[in-house]
Amino acid sequence: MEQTLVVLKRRGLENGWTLGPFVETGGYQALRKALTEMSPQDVIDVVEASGLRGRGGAGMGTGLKWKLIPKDSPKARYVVCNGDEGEPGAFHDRELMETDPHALIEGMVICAYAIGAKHCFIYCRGEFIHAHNRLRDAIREAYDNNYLGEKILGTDFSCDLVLHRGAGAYICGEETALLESLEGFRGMPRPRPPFPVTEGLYASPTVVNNVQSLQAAGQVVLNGAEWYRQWGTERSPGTLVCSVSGAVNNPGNFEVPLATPVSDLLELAGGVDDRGIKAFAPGGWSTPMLPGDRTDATMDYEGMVAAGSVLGASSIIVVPQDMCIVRAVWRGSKFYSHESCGKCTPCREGTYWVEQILERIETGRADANDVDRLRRVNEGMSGFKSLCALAEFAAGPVGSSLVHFRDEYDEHVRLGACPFESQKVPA
Amino acid sequence: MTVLNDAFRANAREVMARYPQPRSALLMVLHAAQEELGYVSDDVVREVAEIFDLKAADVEGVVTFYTMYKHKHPGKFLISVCRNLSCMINGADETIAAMQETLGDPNQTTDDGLCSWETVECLATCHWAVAAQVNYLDVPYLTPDRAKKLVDDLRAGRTLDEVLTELRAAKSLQEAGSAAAQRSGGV
Repeated sequence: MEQTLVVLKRRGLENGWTLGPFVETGGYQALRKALTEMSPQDVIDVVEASGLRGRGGAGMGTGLKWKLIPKDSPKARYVVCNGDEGEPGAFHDRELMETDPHALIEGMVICAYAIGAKHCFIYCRGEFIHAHNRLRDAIREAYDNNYLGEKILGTDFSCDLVLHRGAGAYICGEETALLESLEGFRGMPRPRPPFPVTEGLYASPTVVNNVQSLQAAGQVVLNGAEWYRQWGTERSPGTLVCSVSGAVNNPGNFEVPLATPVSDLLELAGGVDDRGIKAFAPGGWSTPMLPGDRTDATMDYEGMVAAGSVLGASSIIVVPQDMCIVRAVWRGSKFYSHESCGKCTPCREGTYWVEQILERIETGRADANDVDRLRRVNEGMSGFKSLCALAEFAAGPVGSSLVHFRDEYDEHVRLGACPFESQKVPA
Repeated sequence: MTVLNDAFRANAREVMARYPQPRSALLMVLHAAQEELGYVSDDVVREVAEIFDLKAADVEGVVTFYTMYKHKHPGKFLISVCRNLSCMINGADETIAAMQETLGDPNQTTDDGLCSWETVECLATCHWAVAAQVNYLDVPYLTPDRAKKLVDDLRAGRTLDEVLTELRAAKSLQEAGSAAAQRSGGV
């Protein structure tokens, strides 16, 4: 199958991340159209009509989010781009920021115009030096050419954009933790409500959008809602960039219409490698895994729920047949217990105990009750008992592997060892 | 005697002015201090707190939350190796073992002050598994052999630029000759 390049359309374009090639390929036309031909409400209406949904994981309507910004608030409003991509297996936002930074700036200024904001912030993950530098240079070019700053394109609209860096914390990909971090604090999530649309950055109305959502919104403004709806389904319209990695021959990012089957994406990624597929996580490691015979599942919000998982960050990780599931899940559990910020007890304690029990099972020190104990602790920490979704993310791989691969767990306990002899126990 | 000079402080105030509330610049100013001095020392914490008119403990709390801020001086080259799922599936454990063999324990610095290494979580370059960075510059396909060669080359005094250009010439894991690729081939 062919890809449908919408947000990735400048991939491969020579110097596509600089202003000249960007403008030559239609860049900043959406911004010009919004500022000169549309009212802020028109912009919100077209984005809402397109059905574009947030690509960060929760899948909330992008236009709806913009609409929820209170129009009568005396406070300043803010636009924040979540460029803190850290979900294991996800690498599309990074490519989008590196290859098309101006499209992100354009989408953000359009959003600022729509909601009446004068300040935008890009929260770029700290480790992404390359993306940071591309964004920094693009922002400079945009200021120099009046796409940012005072009286943009000769209109009365003015807007500033600040590029901000994270410093190494997975939790800051969660929107309220991100806002805490952007305010100069430890990145710990806040209770909701109030939601960021009413009390976000500096307790003011704030839109927090993912990189891909903002870039897609720009294209929607330029080409219209119906154009965007030519792809995908009624409830999950448009195109989606999917990362595919793990046991595939040609890992990478692939843009396809929503509701494309996983099998087509695996084909785009050169097929599963010689090791064969045991299981896959469809939306990054934090989404419940599905067994290898479920590649008929489709990459859309509803399709993935129907298949027993979630679309999440649309990032497929293929687990090979020769990989011990317990070991893979244990590896993931170390990540979650390290990244849990410690604010909420179910997550702080749950991720710790899940890691301990998984270690016992994998290293042959488990007792007969440990697999059931693992299930109970996992259920105990999940079910939205914490301020953010990190505990749910941690519970996803554990719970789903217990459903699909319970026999592997039991085999470990029965043998008192990992049955995958070839696999060394990591330090 | 201060560790952050007047030029640094002037620049810090400029960064603070970009934000509606100056404290928002804290992470950026800490990054700048680390770039200048190599790590975030107790002196840096105290002086940054002074610049922001915060308690040192408040700044220390922020510093310790984020893994990129280092509390001791890492080597001239900080090698970060991803150990998360996509990389694990493609041989991260073998690469990490090779690093351990070559440079000893992680989060230490070699006696000559040249190299430090650490394991990190998903670097969002899973298509390059095993993903790594040297001083936050990306390295694709870090197989055990390539990891050893990387360290040898840096020890031999080759420039980082030169070494990275060479490592980036490989266009696939197979080309980089990984253990995982050999396993796939039935070896």
